[in-house]
Amino acid sequence: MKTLKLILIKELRSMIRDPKILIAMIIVPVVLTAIMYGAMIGFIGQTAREALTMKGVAAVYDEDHGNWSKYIIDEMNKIGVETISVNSEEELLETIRNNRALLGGIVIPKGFSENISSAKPAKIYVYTVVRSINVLALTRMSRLPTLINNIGRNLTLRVVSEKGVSEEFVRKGVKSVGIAMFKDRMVYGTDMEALIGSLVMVSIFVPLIVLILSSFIAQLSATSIAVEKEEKMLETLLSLPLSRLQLIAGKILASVIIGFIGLILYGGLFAWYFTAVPSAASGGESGVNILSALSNVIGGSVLSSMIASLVGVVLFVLSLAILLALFVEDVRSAQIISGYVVLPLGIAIFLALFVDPASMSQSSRIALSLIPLVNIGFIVNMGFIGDYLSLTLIPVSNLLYAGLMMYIASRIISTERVFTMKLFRRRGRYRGLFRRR
Amino acid sequence: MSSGEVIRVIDLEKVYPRGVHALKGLNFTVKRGEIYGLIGPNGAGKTTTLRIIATVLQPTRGDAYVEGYSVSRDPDMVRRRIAYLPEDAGAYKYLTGIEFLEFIASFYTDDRERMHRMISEAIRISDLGDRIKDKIKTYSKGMLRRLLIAKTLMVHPPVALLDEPTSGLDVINATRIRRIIKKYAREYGTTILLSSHNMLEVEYLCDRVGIIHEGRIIAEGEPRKLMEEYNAENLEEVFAKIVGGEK
Repeated sequence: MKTLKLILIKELRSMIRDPKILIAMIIVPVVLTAIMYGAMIGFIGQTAREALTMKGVAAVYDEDHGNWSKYIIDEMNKIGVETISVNSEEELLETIRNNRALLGGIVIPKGFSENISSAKPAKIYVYTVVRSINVLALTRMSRLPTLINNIGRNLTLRVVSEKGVSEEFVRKGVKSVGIAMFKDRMVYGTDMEALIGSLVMVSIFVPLIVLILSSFIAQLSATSIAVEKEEKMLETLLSLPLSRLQLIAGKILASVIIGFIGLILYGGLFAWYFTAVPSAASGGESGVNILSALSNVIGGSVLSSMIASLVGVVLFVLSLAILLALFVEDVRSAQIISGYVVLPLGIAIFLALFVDPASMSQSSRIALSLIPLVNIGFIVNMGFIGDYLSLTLIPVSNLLYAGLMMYIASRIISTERVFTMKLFRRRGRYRGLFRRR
Repeated sequence: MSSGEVIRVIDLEKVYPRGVHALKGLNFTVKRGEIYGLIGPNGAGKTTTLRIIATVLQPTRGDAYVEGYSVSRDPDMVRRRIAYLPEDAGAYKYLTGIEFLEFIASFYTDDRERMHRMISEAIRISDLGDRIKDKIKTYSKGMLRRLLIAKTLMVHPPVALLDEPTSGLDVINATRIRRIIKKYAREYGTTILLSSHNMLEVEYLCDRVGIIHEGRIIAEGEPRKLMEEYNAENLEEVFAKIVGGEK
């Protein structure tokens, strides 16, 4: 472990003193977060506007049978949402659980119209089944709660303009109470728009953070090998009495430590972001604790498996970057090559936003979880649908791939191939002039 | 390998991946405490020979031994017995001179006392004074080369491999470094194998030289004897006569 420690200390000293790394760790995350903040606010606003022009079917249990409950149903029909009447809350739950085509269901409780007629606050219960947490499914799921919120807001304004109303009614008006149904449990009293907004962010941004960090630390580790060549130290290092595996491991570990410091910085910004965006999107009314929401959706034990998966993927990306960087001659080529490593990760994350593993067979999910890099995009979804086998295979396979890459890298660095093999051989500017005719 | 031999090179051949035949059966030995110079023009195979003995490259055929250990079969044992200075070596620019010396010394010893002695000696050899506490990126080329010579010699290696030790330096710095090498080899009895295309430098430094041309040793001996044998005033003339076929 001596070599590992020495290389680690040297790498950390060099990295911390390099101004380029400080720029990458502080300025880049701040700019990125600002861009994402703006983009997400826009996305949520757009989803709310689309909800007003949507078509679909929703189950309704009208316990009230009053004129204002009829108003709610009529408004839904006017917008284009077909309603199916049910006779009890149990029937409503069964209907929306068994019918994937339904947007959800609403319960208008007894006394709803009476409350409004006497200018007292009234509630509507909106049930939504969370079947998958990819972006498309979540966007569709958010439509009914958004619609009911809008109708409730219009109703409040109408009552306020028609009658002399109490201060309490002006403040609370007609409120929708969200009930999210996750697999075998229900979360009551949820601000559905904010919750779904947060889940969208989790499904996009958890892998996105991994992408950004992987890209950053893959570049760090790839260039840390190239720096040895550029600073003309590789030949000296290879003649020293040191373990080659520990040399590689030391470089990876240093990149991981710097990456971890970066993660704390990114994490702080994203923590703010997760609370600020739902709050801003719902007009500053309320924010949702994203960690507790995430915990409710996929369960705490799955979260730890997710973390292990992320570690596996990060190590795999790093060791792959190191392996490829052994064959480049300078830092610029190493930066290019680390881009090639991270690119498939970006594509995987993008694809995962639109692929629903819930509709796949178990064997397809297992195959998916064994594809390096691509599997990272499905971690949240695998956790959500409770496929623990695939979820375990993702970190295990990535850790195995990472170990294999590190072993191959240490074997290569033990041979002269690190010296004689080049992936990006520079061509001379005047090469053509010396060609024989 | 006889008791006085520290380095033995036997029928060493090296063919690079693109078919370049750099060494074509090299043979020579270096005795303990000797300064042996490999001289020859660019591309003759000097650097390849040193890289093979430093375990950076592997021989295609033949072998080289350092204190009886084969570079191809026991590279770890060889690495513990050598200190190597490549021709265009650099150092970590964001480390200070002293941090760099500590980094190198740590691979050779865990004993704080011994490490302290090594570093003090390196500071003396490099003659960098207080500049040893500055970042390496602020060093001139001469200062960097002195630091690198110091890191190579401070560990008291049984064998020091120096590839073009004064390459690219001005006269003052080059003379300074030659003096350091000679003094150190005499003081500590270190065996030094160096390469150079500067034949005057080799004449001043080396006890014996091997003239290498197109991957083979074409003449070997003490510089003075070679000059007498070929009736030449210096080693450059010796080389010209051998390659040109005159005597």
